[in-house]
Amino acid sequence: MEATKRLDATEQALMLITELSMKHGALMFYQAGGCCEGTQPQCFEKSSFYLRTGDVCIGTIYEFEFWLDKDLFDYWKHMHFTLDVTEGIGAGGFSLETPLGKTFIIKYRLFSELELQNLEAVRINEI
Amino acid sequence: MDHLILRPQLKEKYDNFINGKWTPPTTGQYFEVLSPVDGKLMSKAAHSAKMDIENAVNAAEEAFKTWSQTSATERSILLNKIADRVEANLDFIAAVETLDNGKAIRETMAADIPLAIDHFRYFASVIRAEEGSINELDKDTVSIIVHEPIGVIAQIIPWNFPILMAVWKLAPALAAGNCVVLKPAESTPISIMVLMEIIEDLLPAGVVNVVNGFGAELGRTLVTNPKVAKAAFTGSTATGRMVMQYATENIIPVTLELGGKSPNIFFPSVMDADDEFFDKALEGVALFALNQGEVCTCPSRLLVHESIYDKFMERALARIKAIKTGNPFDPSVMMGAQASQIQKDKILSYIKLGKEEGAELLCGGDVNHLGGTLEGGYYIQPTVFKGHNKMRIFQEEIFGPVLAVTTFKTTEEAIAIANDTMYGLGAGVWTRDAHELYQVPRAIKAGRVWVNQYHAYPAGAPFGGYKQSGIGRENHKMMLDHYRQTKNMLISYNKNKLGFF
Repeated sequence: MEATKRLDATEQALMLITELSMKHGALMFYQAGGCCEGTQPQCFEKSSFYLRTGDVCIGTIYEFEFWLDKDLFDYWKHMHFTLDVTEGIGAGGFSLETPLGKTFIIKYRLFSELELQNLEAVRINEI
Repeated sequence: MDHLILRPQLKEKYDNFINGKWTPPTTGQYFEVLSPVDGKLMSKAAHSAKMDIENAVNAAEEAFKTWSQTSATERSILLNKIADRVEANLDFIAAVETLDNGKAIRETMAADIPLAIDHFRYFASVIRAEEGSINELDKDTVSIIVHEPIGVIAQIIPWNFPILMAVWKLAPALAAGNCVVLKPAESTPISIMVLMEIIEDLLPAGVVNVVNGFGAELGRTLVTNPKVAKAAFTGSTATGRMVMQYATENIIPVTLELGGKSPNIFFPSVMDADDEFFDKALEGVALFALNQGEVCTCPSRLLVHESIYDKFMERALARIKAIKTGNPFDPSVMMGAQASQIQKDKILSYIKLGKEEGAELLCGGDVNHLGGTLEGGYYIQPTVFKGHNKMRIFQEEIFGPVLAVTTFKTTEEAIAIANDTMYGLGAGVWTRDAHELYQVPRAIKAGRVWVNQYHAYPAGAPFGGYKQSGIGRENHKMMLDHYRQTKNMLISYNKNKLGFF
């Protein structure tokens, strides 16, 4: 049986990622916490953000890695992430999509008991 | 019904303020700014590019040559003049801030703008009384410490208190003799420009420059500009780390204010009497709704001793249900609109999550439909959940009017729950017990612990975070040291050589 993915993206998110990667090249996603744009997924150029030791990669969209702050992964590991996009700005931060008047968002879904037993492995950023 | 404060008239668009002049962005482009009050277009702001930042930094660097040479007296006089001018225009500025951010006019009139005014006055005062120091290290060796301004400062401002957060950074930077390039948040870019229009004639050209646009396009170029000597940022953890990372390029210092998940702890003695103090304590619970919960120190985790929980929450919920929501321009309204549709959606997704996680909804929990012209605005009901500290709604900064309540059995447990967070910005402790009111705050790992009060931000009391809540202490004269260099002159009065060579 195929392992349950932790991360998916909507059609609109995929289209926006394609548009952004044409302009900026390879990308990465990072999600942490804190005020204002905290807990919004941030889209950066690949390798432009210094990952913390122990940060967790929950999957890729195209070949672009989606990383979570290690301190929050504990609270997010029971959730499926769907990367979506919404019209408008307002979160703040340095995420690449905002100048286009759009904002990446995550839609969460609790994994079922069955899914929890068969989750895709994550990758840890280790030294 | 109270009469509504008149919605302020704004310009169709606002240019950047660079080198004392209103300057269109080099791109020729502007982005639309919607008011959270009704979701409608309120104005447009400059969609700036790298070149605009460069022009602003160059102007600041040029201005620094003369501004850095001014006396503390001259700078103090100027800060006081700015304070007086803002005070004379308080009503108008407050109305613009409400339109830009969505917060209730009651707060902008009584908190945001008066605090900003006082902040200028505080730094105008402290620099007059500041001194360097001199120390005779031995009978022939004297060390003199002189404070020198650091140079051009990059300041990136959040959207929750657009003017006040700008002033928290501007006042100490200017007082210390620096010049500033400031980038407002893209969702609240207008009120700062209106403030600049009001004070522009007081400022020498280039001392304060304001450039609007997107962090994605301007953040890196601003912080890594070789002429920028220091960066200050308020916002999320990830972006704060990004700013810090950019600052490594030229080894410049940073100050960061990055959020929290602040506990507000109520000990049993709070309910010993049904008196003024208990009334104050109930208000202390309801303060999670201040600024619609969009405060880094929002007391979003309520910790109540289990022995008083039922009776306490009955009264607290009654107080929360009495929070008057409605048109932010109505002076009797206590809670206005969330700052953007994005923020509103995020809060609603956390409310949904709280329900899914099994937290018990005690009140609110939905969009607040105000109807009429306000239906397009971004309103949410004050919401209270009961749950436990491991739930996501207890750990993640929702930045909205959502309170997560839990109980504790012992003081040790209260402290453990309070500290079980990656943040350490604010906390509240409420008690009539003289020992608790000293020992508990000392045990909480946070930069600001309010004791028998909450959400006070007077100039003169240092404010900043422990742990992942940031670096630096704003609101206090110690912030001056984050905005200047220490020059040490080490003088020998000994005529004899060392004898080494």
